[in-house]
Amino acid sequence: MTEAFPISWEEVARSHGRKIYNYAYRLCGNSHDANDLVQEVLLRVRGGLADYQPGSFEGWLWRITRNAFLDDVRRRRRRPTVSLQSDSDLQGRYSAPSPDEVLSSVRFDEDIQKALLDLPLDFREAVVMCDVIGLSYEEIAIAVGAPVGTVRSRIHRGRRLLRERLS
Amino acid sequence: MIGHLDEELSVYLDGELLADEARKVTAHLAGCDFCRDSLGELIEIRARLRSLQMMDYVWQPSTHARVIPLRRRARVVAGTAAAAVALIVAVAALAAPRDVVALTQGDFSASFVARQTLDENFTGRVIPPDVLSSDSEAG
Repeated sequence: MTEAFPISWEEVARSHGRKIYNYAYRLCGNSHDANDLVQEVLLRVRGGLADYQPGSFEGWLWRITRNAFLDDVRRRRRRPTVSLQSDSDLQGRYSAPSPDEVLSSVRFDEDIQKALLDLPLDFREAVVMCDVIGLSYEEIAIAVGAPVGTVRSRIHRGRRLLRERLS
Repeated sequence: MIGHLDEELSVYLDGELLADEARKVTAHLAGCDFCRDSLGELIEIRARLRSLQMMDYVWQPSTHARVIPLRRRARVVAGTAAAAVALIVAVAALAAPRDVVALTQGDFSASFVARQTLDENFTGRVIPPDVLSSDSEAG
């Protein structure tokens, strides 16, 4: 699939920064690491734009994002932490108490976020790319460097595991 | 179709089956309670994933513009500093933005968390998945 290509990395930042941030946040559960990842991805995009071959831009970008994330995981050599706790510490400093409905929605998010973090990384990234970011199977296949058949299996097994853990 | 469906159900749900395969799955579902229940479970978990709050992240050109050119600036500064001792003052002035960057990044996450907490509008998913996928189909 050939797509309109963003001219500059700044445009990539504007059009995809938020998605990259959310991808990282759901994968690592930590807003600070997610922020760092967006900047790392943008640096890599900036360096790689010259070599980009027309094709699936989404696949290309998410491959960069995924590799940056994996490099970060390897570098840190620690299990990603659940940041919802540290985020609530920050919230304590910046905000008044939240309404009940906000709290319950946060808990709802928290349950599924914890279940996501318990998934094997292959399943977690496939499910997040598909259901949170909204990529197609083909784009995910390019991003993770696996056949579409593998991707569909990971998405399905990931969803099944989540279902088991949440029920 | 023999037995029950498994992986095909997810693929069916995601609209990634070929039309012919999708018709077969539809036909099977019409006569199989077990597979209809399985599909219902997948629909539920998928809906929960899709309802995860899409965190707000606003990319600010000024923040990043300051982060990235620093390396280039550092080289320029090194060359100039060798030329004149008087420039040390200027070097110190140029080095200052490093701290500014650190603060900006920290404030950025903090303000994000604060906005997330204070602004009710952030509780919903702002970009629905169908909009995201239609992005990728464009062009």
